[in-house]
Amino acid sequence: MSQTGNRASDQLLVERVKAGDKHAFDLLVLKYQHRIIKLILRYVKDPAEAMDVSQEAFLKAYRALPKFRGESAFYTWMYRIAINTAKNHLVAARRRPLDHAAEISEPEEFEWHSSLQDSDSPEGKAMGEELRETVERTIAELPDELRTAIVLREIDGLSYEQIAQVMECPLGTVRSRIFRAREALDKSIRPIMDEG
Amino acid sequence: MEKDVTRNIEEQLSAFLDGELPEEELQLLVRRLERDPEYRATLARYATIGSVLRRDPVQVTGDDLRQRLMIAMQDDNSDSQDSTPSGNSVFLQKRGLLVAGIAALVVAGLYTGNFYRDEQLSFDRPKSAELARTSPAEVFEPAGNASEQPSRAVSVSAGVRRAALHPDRMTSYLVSHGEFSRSFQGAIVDSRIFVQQASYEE
Repeated sequence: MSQTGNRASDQLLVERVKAGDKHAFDLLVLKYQHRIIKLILRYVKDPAEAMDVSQEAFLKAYRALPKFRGESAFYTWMYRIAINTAKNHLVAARRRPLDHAAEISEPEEFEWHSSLQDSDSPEGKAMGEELRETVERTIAELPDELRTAIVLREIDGLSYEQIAQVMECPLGTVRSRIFRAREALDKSIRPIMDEG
Repeated sequence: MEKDVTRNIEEQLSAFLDGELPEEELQLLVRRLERDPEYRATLARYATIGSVLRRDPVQVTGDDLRQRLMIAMQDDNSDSQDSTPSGNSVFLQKRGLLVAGIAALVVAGLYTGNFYRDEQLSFDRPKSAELARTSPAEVFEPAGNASEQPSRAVSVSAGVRRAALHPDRMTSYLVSHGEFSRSFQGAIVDSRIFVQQASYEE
């Protein structure tokens, strides 16, 4: 359900980009940038460099989008572009990939293998730490049903249907619980984000 | 009332991020996101929350990437707009074609030996005197024993092949015996004369 939903909504955005709507591409970037940057950081350790490579990868995707027929999911296609861009970057810089575990062909496998990495500028790292602490504190204060719903979604990657089965509640309730959790978390991180 | 609408849209944003928004809501939300930076910012924060929860490493710098990309895409679009033909660019394109045509003529001239100068272009061409000394047998048979000096044999062989296709000879041969030899009405034409005349005119 989740995969199909993502695919359908991504395809809609792709069609809008093809029709000349740049904001639709911004939405795709917004949705996948963290995963793509995280993937590229497997190849390129320096965060600034990884940002450049990510930018290049997204730009390549934007340019190639008119040829994207939607036979695969947008994220799978984007994932491959990102890997190729990172590899080409390393070849151009005559370096070897940092982490051979990143030689994973499918994005789903990467999600499973991805480990926790911390790499950023000192300011970014400090802000990241503050964000993390705030989120952890807020999530601990959430009512059980909201905390479970958001954790199952964001950390375990379950679809709404799967969460509904686990929590034994209707689909609409899952949607509402996840939103309410996000709403509370958003309220707590907003001052930090506005500062940054 | 307005607060309810906002909350409803924010709930849609949340479902959209998870790829769980029904088709009928999706179209409307995407159009709304297109014109409302506030909702895009909210969506970005929701994405950041997920990133923090999953302990992704670069959650803070994401907006920077989006801004950079938008600028790059803007440049990209203006570049492609620049390349669409306008009055001025049509003239430039025509001028480009003319230059390309002249360059092709020069290359063709070099290839057929019309612009050949022994002193300037002697790097891989045998001199006329050497050619005169080269017998037909030498042209097709590499000199020396190839098995004794393999590396040298290759270079000699390559040199001989170049000699066999020497442009001066080819031009003379074609003028005398080629398909259009009759159009020269028996006159021996040396194209270098025309090149020299042309250079004087400049």
